[in-house]
Amino acid sequence: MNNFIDNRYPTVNDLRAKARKRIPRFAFDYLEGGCMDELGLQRNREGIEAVQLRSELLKPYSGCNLSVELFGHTYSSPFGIAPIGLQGLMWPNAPEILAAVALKKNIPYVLSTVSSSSLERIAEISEGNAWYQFYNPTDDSIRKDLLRRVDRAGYKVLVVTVDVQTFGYRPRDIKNGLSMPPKMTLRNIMQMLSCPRWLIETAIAGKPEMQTLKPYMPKGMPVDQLAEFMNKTVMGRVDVEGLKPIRDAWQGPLVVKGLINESDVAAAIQIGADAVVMSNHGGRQLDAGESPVEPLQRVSKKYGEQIKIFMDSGLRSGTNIAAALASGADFTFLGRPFVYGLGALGKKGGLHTINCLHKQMEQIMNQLGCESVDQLPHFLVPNKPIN
Amino acid sequence: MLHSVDYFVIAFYVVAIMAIGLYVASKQKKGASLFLGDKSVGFTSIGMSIWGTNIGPSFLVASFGAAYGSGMLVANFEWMAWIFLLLLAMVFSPYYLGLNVPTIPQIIKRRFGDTMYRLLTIYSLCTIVVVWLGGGLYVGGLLFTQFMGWDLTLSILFLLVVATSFTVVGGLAAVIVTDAFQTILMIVGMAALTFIGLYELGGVEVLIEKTPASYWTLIDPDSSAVPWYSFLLGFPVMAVWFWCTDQTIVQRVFAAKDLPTAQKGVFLAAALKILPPFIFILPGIIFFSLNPGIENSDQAFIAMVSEYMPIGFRGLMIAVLIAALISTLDSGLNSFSTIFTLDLYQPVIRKGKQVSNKEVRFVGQMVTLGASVLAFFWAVAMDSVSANLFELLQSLIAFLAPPLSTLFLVGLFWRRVTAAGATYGFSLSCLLCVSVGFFSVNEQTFGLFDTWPHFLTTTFILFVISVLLTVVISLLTKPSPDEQWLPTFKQMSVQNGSNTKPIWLAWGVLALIMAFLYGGFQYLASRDVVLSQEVEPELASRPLKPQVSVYRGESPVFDGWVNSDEYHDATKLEGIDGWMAQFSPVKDKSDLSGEVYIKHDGEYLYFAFDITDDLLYGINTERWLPEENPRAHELSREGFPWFGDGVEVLINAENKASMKEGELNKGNGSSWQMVVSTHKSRLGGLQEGGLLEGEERSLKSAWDNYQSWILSGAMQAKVRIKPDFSGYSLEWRIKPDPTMEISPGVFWSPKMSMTEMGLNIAVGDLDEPHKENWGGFHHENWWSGERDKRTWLKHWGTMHLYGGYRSEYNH
Repeated sequence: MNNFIDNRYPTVNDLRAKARKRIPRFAFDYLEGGCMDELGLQRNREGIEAVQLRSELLKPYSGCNLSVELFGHTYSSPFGIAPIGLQGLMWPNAPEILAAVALKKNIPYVLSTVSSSSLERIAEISEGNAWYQFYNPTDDSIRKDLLRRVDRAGYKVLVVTVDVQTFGYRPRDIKNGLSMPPKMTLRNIMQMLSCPRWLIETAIAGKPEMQTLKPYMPKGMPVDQLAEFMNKTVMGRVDVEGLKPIRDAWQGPLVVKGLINESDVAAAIQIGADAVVMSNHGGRQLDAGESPVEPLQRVSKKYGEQIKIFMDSGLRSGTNIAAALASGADFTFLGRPFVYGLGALGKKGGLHTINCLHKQMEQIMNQLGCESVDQLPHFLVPNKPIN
Repeated sequence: MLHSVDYFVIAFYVVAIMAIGLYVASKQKKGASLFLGDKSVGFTSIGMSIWGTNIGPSFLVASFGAAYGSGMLVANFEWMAWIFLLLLAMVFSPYYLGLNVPTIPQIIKRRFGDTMYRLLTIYSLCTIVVVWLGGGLYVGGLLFTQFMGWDLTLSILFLLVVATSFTVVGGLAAVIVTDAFQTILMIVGMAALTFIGLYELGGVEVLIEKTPASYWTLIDPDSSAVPWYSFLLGFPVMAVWFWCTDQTIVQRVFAAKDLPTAQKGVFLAAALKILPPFIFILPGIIFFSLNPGIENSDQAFIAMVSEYMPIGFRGLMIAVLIAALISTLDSGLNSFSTIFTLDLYQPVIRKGKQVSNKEVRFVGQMVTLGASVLAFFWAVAMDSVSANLFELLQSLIAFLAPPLSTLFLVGLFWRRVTAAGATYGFSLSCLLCVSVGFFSVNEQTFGLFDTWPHFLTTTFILFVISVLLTVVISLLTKPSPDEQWLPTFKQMSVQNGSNTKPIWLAWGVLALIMAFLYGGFQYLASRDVVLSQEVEPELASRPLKPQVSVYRGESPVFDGWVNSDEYHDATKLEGIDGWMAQFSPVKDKSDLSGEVYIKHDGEYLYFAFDITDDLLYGINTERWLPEENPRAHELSREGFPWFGDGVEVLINAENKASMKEGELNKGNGSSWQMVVSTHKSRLGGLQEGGLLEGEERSLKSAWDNYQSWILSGAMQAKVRIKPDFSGYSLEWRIKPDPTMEISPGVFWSPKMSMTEMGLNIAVGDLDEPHKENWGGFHHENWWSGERDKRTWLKHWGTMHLYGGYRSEYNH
């Protein structure tokens, strides 16, 4: 059971096609969409797909080991589950399912601040192994209270997202009038009705709401004003000065997520961050943003010794993960593939997706003749023009 | 509350249902029977039609309300029905189809002859008008009025026109097909309501967590609403009548092509009976968990629909109600017309002469129209007559059952029953039942008994009496030539000759499912009981620390006067006289008693005290000094701030308390203990009541903190002596910053999630010098803690401080 793979869906693309039919349109669009013309989404894919690897066939080889040590814990695979907001909207209980399966498969699960589950509940399910993604609330008392809760719940790693300066301009969500919880418009209801499985599971699980932030929301505020309120109070701009008090308040490992610029990485090292995530927020914030692959290659050469470097945005397969690691990442995160998995296969989708990606990685490592994840850069085909 | 989309949905439904009915009518062969639908009706239509006919709007709204008020218990009426449908399918149907008759009275005619036949015809016509047409239409009209805001007469007329239109033209075939359609609509609509309810509530887990365990029980021997023996005895009498012998239900069996079709149809109806508890009763329970505050549970259904259903779906729910009504009404109209035409017109008015099919059809249509006119006046009349009559009609259903149940159970299965026994037994028991029904409903007028037994018990007693009447009269009389034996059950089975094994197997499976459902719900109902039994001993062995939830409320007028109006939204702690007594316990409420109100308004946390104290220190008494401290009134660390009549509040905002013996507050924002006295104050000198520093006085930092809070206005208090000197009231408000520091540098704010804090409250009472207590105190009562240990942090109670209004939390 632990190695469950459903052979109908050997790739993330297969999962995506199935999930598209089983998740109501407005929710799927939120998961899938980028910003503006969605050029960034495409560029992310092109960036990672352009990476080439070269195998060494005749060298003695004694099998591969996919485990990676981070912050004193050895994870079984070189990838984790990236934070995605409103996960419960896309598939009921998604955070619970993914947190549990991440624990079981020994990979990190990063809980989003704007999740549909409370941080306390996920801490319980993940037995303290989940990471917490943090937006920097502009409201002082909310920030302090939230950090206190994260600490009390027993999260080990804090991931501060710094690339949400603005609320991404996402045409799909604007058209759909997306809100959390979803508005009961006739259009939304029709979309829900066309996904009976989602409908039943949602009834059993109940209305998706931002459980972690619920205590801070003004009661009875209409859903359309709520987004603006959240944007103003919770998702504050974070600069170096904003990071310092968080660094002071947080004793455990601190990860700064959403960097693409070398100078920002240097600043993160300055304030004492333990890791950075090279990322453009899955192409959801800046449509003209570059793929993180090329910056990753540069940054890892320059700062790889000083700080852990992770990467996300655009990864869809074991090949992509290997390409990212070969480009100098110590670890990778994927977001959408796991939700596709849930959409396609329900509860078992998380396990299936992890196992698939792991299996793909194994095949690549064996084919390359690469024994451990940190040796992957050795197999990178150099000087290939990117973008 | 309705949007134009809703009106569109309703209009669409009405047009669709009439179109379907009229289409079926147009497809019929000319001269086809209005009453048996050409004997061509399929089993799915039969099953759905029985199900739909059974569920009227009043049932729908009433069982929803009953579920809201007391939970699953009402589901018994649904989940027990399969037994009687089994009886109908396997025992009665072979007779009905074997004898090949169109109406219930004609079966009785075969057995007992003409007199009994006439009697039963009249009885049947009356019950159809009373049960199916009159009551249903009136209640349906009322509901429709509430939703649409129409006049009652107009509502009734509208509903009747829709129901009559296709019933007149299409007869039973149209009724059965539209019923099937409406059954689907009802299931879909109510499933949507259940879905949205669960969705809003937060899912199944939350439902089970929030619903009292007793709501899940299906078998409750102690139920005050329906005694178990009443249900066990009375329900079968009603159910046999309703399911097995009532024309409106049974006519669907008569219309079946053959016995297997009929049996499959009835089985389908029984299987569909699994659904109502889940989609009609469960949403009532869900709504109770969402909003337990509705006083009249009959209003629950409408409240849920208008509160939670989105635009468009409200229209759908009204369509569901109309569907429930029309599927019942059209069946009643058609049955009335069937019995009238076949049992009264043909044999009596036309004196049994051969009548052409065309004429029968025409007469049937006219009678349907006539019945609908009758129903209209009946329903309108019910509105103008006192409500009492309506209640009478409702309970008459229970009193109509015993005569007919007796006639069928005894008459068909015991050969010794004579025509005279049947006729007189039936007539006498009808008379008896109607009069008992009349007296029981009008009990207040007549005052015959102190308490009437439950109506189901009465039903059973009446059933026993009518069986006795029938048996005794039969034994006393001789069989008449009019009567004849019906074939025995065995002969019937042989005649039908069909293979009954598969259908019996299906019934067996259904029985297993039912047992499983009962088991499941009993498990749910028993769960919490087990849980609380496990917890109780532990609770009893340790001192109970009190808890209080505090919410946001309106800002009170801060003047020292406390009235329950301005604190209606606060949390109230009562029974001060019964709190833990540090000194002499309070024996007389006038000596010391009162209430504390707690709330916050987003800016301040308020404590308001309304204290009864008949002897006020320094006002009714001398300002005597305690032996322990002649400088008690000095406003310094050497004084006794709490010496006098007054109150103390202790807050542990940090909510950290080690289990250490004797650990006290820190004297800063994280935890503190302060005083409001009736006769001295830091700000007002010796005569004025008000705030004073508290403990630990010996700690200079604490004293300084307290004093700075008072001087800066971070903490304010006003005290008022009641004009008749019977006590005092005081208001005390504190600013969270700097007095409620939940962790270093973080002060409580209403934006935070629920925050737990330590809290203790004391009310002191100093009268004449009482030498027996320390300091001469008479009383000092504490909300939490043990004697001499009440100021230890670990002995304080807990305050759950919520940022928002109480109404936001479903508490």
